[in-house]
Amino acid sequence: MWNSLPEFGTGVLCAILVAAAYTFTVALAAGGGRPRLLQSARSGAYGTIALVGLAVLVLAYAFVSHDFRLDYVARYSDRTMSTPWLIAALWGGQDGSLLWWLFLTALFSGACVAWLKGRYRDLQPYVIATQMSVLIFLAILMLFAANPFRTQIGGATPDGAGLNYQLRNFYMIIHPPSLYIGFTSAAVPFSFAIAALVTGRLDNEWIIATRKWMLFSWLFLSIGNALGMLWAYEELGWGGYWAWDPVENAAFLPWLTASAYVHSTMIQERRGMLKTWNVVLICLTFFLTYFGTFLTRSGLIASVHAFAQSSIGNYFAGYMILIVAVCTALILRRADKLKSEGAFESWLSREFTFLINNWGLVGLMVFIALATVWPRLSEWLLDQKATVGPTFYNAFIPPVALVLIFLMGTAPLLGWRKTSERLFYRSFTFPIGAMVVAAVLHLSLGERLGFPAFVAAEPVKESGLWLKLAWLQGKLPLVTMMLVAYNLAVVSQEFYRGIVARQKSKPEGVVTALLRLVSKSRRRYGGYIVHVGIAVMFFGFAGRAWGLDKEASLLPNETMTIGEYTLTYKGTHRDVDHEKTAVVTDIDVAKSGAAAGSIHPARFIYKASPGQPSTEIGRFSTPKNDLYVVVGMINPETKAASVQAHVNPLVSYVWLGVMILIAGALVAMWPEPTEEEAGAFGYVRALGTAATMVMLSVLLALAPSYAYAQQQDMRREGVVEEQTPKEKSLFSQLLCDCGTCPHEPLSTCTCGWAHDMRATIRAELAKGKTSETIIAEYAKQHGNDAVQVQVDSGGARALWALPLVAFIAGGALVYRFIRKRTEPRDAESASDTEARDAYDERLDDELKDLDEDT
Amino acid sequence: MKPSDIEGQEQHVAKLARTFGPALLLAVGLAVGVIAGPALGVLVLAGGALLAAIATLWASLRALVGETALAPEDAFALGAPSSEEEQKRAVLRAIKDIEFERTVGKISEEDFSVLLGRYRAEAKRLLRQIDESRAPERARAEALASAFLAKHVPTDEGRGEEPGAKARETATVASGGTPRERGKKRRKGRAPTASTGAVAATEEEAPTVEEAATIEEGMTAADTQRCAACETTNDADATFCKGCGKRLQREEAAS
Repeated sequence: MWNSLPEFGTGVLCAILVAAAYTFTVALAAGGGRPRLLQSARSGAYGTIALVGLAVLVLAYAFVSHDFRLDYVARYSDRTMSTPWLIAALWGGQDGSLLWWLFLTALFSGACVAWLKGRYRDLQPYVIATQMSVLIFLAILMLFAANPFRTQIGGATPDGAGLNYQLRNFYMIIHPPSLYIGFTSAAVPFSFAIAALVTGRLDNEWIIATRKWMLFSWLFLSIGNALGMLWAYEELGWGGYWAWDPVENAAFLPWLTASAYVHSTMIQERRGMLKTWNVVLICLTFFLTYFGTFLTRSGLIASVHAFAQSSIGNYFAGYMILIVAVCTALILRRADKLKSEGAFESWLSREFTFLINNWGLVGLMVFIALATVWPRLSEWLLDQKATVGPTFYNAFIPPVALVLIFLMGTAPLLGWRKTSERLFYRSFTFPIGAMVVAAVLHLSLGERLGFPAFVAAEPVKESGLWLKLAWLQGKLPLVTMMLVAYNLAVVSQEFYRGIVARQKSKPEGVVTALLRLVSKSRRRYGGYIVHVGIAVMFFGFAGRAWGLDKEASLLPNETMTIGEYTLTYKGTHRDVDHEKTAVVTDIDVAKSGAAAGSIHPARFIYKASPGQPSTEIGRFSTPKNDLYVVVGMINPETKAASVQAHVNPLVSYVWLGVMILIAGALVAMWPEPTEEEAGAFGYVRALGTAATMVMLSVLLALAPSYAYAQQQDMRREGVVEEQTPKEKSLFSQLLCDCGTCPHEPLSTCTCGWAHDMRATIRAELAKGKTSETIIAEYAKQHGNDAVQVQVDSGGARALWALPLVAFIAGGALVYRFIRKRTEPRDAESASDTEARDAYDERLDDELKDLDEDT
Repeated sequence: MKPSDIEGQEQHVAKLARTFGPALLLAVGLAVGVIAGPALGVLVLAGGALLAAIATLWASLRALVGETALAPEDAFALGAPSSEEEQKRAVLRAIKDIEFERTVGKISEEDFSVLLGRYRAEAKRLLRQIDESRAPERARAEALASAFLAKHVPTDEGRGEEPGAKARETATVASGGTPRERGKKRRKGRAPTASTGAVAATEEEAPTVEEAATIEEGMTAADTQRCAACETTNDADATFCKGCGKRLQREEAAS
């Protein structure tokens, strides 16, 4: 045994802090144009990164050598775990995951330093200094609040507790690392932004430097969020993939601002506008990567899958205050240099569309962030407990998201500066035609295919505005389909026009023209492919409007019908291995009367923790829908099984859309053949590509696989028969208060307590009580936080009113902006530009070389 | 062994370590892990990380106190495009982009002309900036080349060349070609390197025109010296190697 391992590990953390501080100082000193100090800073950065790698390897050694002196090793591993699981346990808990965060940040810093070499020499010192400052914070955090080398107070135990079995699955191996890659890589563009602000070099130099780094970060945020959705779908066992849980929201927030940035940057490159926006968006993205961690690890917000609470919240709060203070000070200092060079000349212009897109995405981010912290804000400010759940988010987010989808398709059709009438008709005719055709088809055929154009949405409250909101919600499936068709038509038209234009100038086949078209404009066409991916995802999201949920208690050979499926419960059998006993249920599935196969949902009872069984989901996937079955309690004597079934239409398109999105991002990131991007960024990109493809290939191969559902000490029993939309709406607003489940809505919780409560509520509805009365009584009995945001209490009224006020105010601002800022400028003409000189010839030669090189 | 020999060897070892070290370490770690168990394999990797940390931090300290020569990417900034060049390339792409949009009919002729004019003006401004920033080095290269040619290359009266034409041509070759050629080489992944009459690294190391002339006066065709780093034969009283650009140990020229 390595006797001094704990001390050595802590010593390495100290060395990281010292090395990072040294490099920070030298890098700052190099800012005065001293190449020798810059060289020293670069080597210092590499040394710091090597020390971080050393810390990770020492912890890995502790795991594989079962050094249970370390508290972290004892809590997250045991002697039965194989080496791969021991390595995965490195990020199984908070301390290790923070060390992993430090490691990835260091890795990207190293890649950035290696990529920089002799480039951006004026920015380099401050880029390195900023990156080192991030490492300093993380090193301080680890040393004083989350040291993975901390020893157990009572000394080494003979064995450890082992990794939670819910974490021992494929998705939990890859989901945190991929999300962390997205979070940590955002430090690189942030450091360029700070360097640009410090040096005052705020023209396009730093935008060009950060472009592909930000795209890389955005790609992995997308993959991380998608894997999170997939994990939730197959793990949490409630039949959905996104519940607006604080942890999910925390990962989504930086994705929104990063999405805004990758679009907004084009406006600065082309028109010299939105400079302040771009700097703010990058700083905001970096801030949000820490804000999310602060939310979920500080104990501020309760979550279904929050991590253990700890004292690190104060450190994160302090660091976030520092980020805000420094960024604000720098932006205000450079406000003059951040003024736009151009102006908005028409509201029918690409620039204006991108501006609205920025507002929309940032507005969405603010909305989600506020709603996430509302429970705490309500307690602090209003002395009122509150819970904000899917009902609230789903009331407001879909309409805003659809507006953004509309803008996504519209922006490529509009011209720079303004769009002439001729161009307008030429560009919009086909997409709008496709939209109309989609609407007609949906209205005429939707009902027959099982996807009616309109659905009945239950209002939160039976009065004025809420009824209008419910009316709007009921129309969203049709609107979604129309906008999906619109976006697909836009992209098709763009590809078609590009191929035709190419073929006019060069005799090429369609395929050759297509490949060369994409090759020459990777960012543009990669972006279009991403848009297709998002449109396909929205097609999948729309399927939730037609979802079915049912539960029944079945004896062997009994059947239940849900939608077009008939499930016949055949019985159970047991599989035993060294880790667990699996009680497997055999269910035959028939679709529209014809035998379709069988599924085997199960319950796993682990020998290490028999009181915490996990539930294994059975899934039957088709392009049209997923049949998703969970088994609750099984009576050992009668073999009666509590079966919960969901039919999730179109959900496969969500995953397909993710794959297309990733492919598009990779195309956009791929280097132009004329750019000298060999070296570190090439490795990073290659690594990103390889990792993405491997992960997704395995995902595809394992798609119809078993999965685990989160299960705690709850007794799953009882029958759920949700018969009316009113009941469904009511049950989704009220949270189970049994004390054992993680506050699931009554609509999905199948514990005995929830079953009894539903029966009681049904009886009250049958007596004529209104939903509002029932909700008020429930809140009085079980507390305000057992209701997903009431509408009648003071604080809740404010929360519901806020988005509506924001929409109205936003609309008024947009109208005012259009009136004031889009007055046409004095017409410029080509004759206003410079007369030709020798540089024109050189410029023409370089443009010709650019053509040849591609 | 001369100090320059030691330094050359050190740099050679460092370059080998940088290139092959990570892969070798990984391979050894994996092999040990398979043969002797994962714990030992991880320990080998940790040992390698520790060595790397010590080596790079030591290199950082040595660079800080001036014990090591400046690395080429810091001294010469060769092979790396300047920020003006990066911006120029982005503007060229913007021009290509709006030309494409015009081809597919997404931009009116009027807007195209206005935007094109703006982008071209910006590109020309950047080209001027690039030329201005290179002007001092170019003048120095021309002066060095003039001095060398004056000494070694006989004038050809029949050719009627301009006196400075050969020097400018040599200076152009010395700096890696014309600006267009340099740009093309860079795009193809080949760094434009200095050949004869290497451009000076920093202000404090660059010989003045008078110094260059003095150097040329003292040189004879028979006097040579070898560069310790790359073995290139240089003139006896050359200050920098014409092959790799490193500072040479100047030997006393035979009078």
